[in-house]
Amino acid sequence: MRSTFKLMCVVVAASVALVASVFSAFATTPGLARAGIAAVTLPGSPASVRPAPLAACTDMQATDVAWVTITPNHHIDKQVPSYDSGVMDITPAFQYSCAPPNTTIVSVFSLNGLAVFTDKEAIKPRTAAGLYAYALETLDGSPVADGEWGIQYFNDKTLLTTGSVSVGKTGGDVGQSQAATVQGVVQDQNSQSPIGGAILLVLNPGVTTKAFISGGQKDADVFTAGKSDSQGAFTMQKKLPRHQVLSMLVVADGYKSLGSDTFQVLDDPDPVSITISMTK
Amino acid sequence: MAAQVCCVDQQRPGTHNIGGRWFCDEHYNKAVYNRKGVWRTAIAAVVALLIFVAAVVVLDLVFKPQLTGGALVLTGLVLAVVPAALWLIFFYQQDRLEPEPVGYVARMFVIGLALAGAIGIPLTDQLFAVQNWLYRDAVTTWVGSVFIIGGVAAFIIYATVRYFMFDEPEFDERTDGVVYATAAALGYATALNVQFILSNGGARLGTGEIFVAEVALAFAGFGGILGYFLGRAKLEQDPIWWLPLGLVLTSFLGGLFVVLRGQLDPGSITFAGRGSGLPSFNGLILAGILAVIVTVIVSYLIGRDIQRSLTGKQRAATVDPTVGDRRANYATVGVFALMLIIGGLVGSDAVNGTESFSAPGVSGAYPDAYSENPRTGDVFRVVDAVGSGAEFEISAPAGTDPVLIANQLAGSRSTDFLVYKVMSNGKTTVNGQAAVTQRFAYVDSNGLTGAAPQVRQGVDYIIVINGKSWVVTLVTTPDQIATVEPQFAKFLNSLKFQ
Repeated sequence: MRSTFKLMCVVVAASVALVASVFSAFATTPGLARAGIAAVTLPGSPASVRPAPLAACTDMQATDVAWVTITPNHHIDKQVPSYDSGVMDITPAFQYSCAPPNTTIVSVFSLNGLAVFTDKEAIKPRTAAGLYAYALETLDGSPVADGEWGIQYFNDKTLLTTGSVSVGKTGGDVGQSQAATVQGVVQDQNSQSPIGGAILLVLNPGVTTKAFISGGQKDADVFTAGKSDSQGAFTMQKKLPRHQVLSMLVVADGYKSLGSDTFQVLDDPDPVSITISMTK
Repeated sequence: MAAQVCCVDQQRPGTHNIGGRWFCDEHYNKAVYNRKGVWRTAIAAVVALLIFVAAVVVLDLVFKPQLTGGALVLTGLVLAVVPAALWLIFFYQQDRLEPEPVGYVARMFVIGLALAGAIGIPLTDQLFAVQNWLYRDAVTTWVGSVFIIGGVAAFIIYATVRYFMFDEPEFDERTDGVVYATAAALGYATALNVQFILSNGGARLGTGEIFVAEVALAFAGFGGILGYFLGRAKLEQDPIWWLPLGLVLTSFLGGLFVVLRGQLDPGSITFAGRGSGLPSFNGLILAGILAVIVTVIVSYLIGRDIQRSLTGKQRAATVDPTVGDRRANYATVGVFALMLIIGGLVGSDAVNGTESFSAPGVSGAYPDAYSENPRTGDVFRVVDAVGSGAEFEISAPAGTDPVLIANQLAGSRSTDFLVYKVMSNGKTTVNGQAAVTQRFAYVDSNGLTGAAPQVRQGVDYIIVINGKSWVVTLVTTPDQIATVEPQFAKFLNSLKFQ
């Protein structure tokens, strides 16, 4: 018995030590604190460079998105909570910890929940922190349309950070509004790999998931819906009212349907990010 | 009755009888020997595995390793074989004290793994495609879990031991059944875990290792149960239903585990900033409890059987042991085939089952998964809102010229949708009636399920019967049309117009 116990200790200790060494080799650097973005300039300038982390860069970590205005010579002017109607460009920016080799930043802009513009850009590897910003303007030089703009930044296929801002009359402190945009990712619970093509339905207040399914899955019972893309990312079409208990139904091929009759957006910052984990 | 030859090595004369089987001195002593080290090994392996998983989860939370691509898959594969490796290491250590050919154990593991990859997983995932119908309702969940998922796994474990080990002279102790079946079961579990890693392109290490360990522990439990039945069948002359009972019991246990795990881990919706950030351990705890309970119960049963043998209370055999073994095997295969047939029928009904309907002027049957979803202007309409998103519609437009009706449909849809385009026109027959077909596609700017505009594709069947026109329409997304069209063809052929 004692030899079995000793063996158990030795084997487990050796296995854990091995795993620990592998994990530490691929460990991420500590999360960054949000910096005063108005004080820094675009990547490449000395002001945006931080001391290199001890380990080589293996993963890009991003801060929340800050919406900024830029000067004519393409330096960041200041951070803004919203843009006035008639603005000629809008610029979401974020800070990142470092850039591993083969990093491609994919920018997806949306207007009122509809994806309207995407672009991607390869950036040079760097072990120091930096700042990335994408200034969006219209091709014909006309003002940017009023509405609720959103941005999703990906590192290739991995969601880095997201943000939203109001342009024009809808501007204001969106954090205080009575409704919020809900977005997030759908993933496999066990592997945490993204699930594409998952359908998300938020039902009208009072309609439970059971009643929806047994009642013929009527379009009229659906308050809003979304569908995850190949990266598992989704944005619900309509904003959801805060403090309202709603039912949410998520279905995906090969996965057990997931229903909740107690889904509720509280005072979470807009846009509200959720992670949906599904099991087979 | 066969001559009194030892039933284990088939050479030496039998000097002891246990329930109709003769044993030489050496094998009699082994048949009534309770190798308690097996239970210590099993419990130690379970504990070691749980400690290892906990350590991996903690390390994952602390270091947050960001593995990608090949490194992620490779690490996942290594972690996928850790549970089986731990068990084999512990077994080997135990083996030094109470010798048992490690080669046979490794052989069971490898054959179990190979049969799972070549037969077991393709049977459940491709031939029966359980994942497509398992959760349709309570009946499909239980039947699919027990008869297909559990049944196939149990039979592969059974087949591995029965056809590749059962007749070997080294299978000479009751606990050998448990040892060899557990090895085969861990082979099956490893195949499942490797498939899990590869199909997902790797896995987040903490949650991935929990899943891998959960599968391994559960299968070790299944192997333990079936191994008890096999071990006793080897050394006693049990009734013909003994091994089929073992198969059914193991299948039920496997199915029960699938159902319970689904209940305990139904998935989650987590808000950023809320929640502990810890993965769910429910399935792992369930599997751990299962493994420990099985170990304790099987240990008790084997001890009891040995006592019974020593006191001569064994039931006497009524048939030659060799013949009895063969019949028991046929019965087991038969029961397995029956389970597959029942599971297949239930699965087929879930996928292809239909619901009858009757609407003004038309009746027929639509797929079970669809729901009636009437819309103004339609005679009848069903949708698969939470599945393929397909719609089957029947309308009764004015006029009797199919070509004119097709043009009217194109005209009205052009105003309703963006970029409406007729892709082709043709003629066919539906239930013996001439019909005009019109394939089309358009962009729905306000689709129910997508924030972005969605391309929709479909086909109209325009039929004129007794001076009345009917349009039967399929609408779905381009990626679903190949899947949905066979369902629509059945729907179309079921229609009876009055």
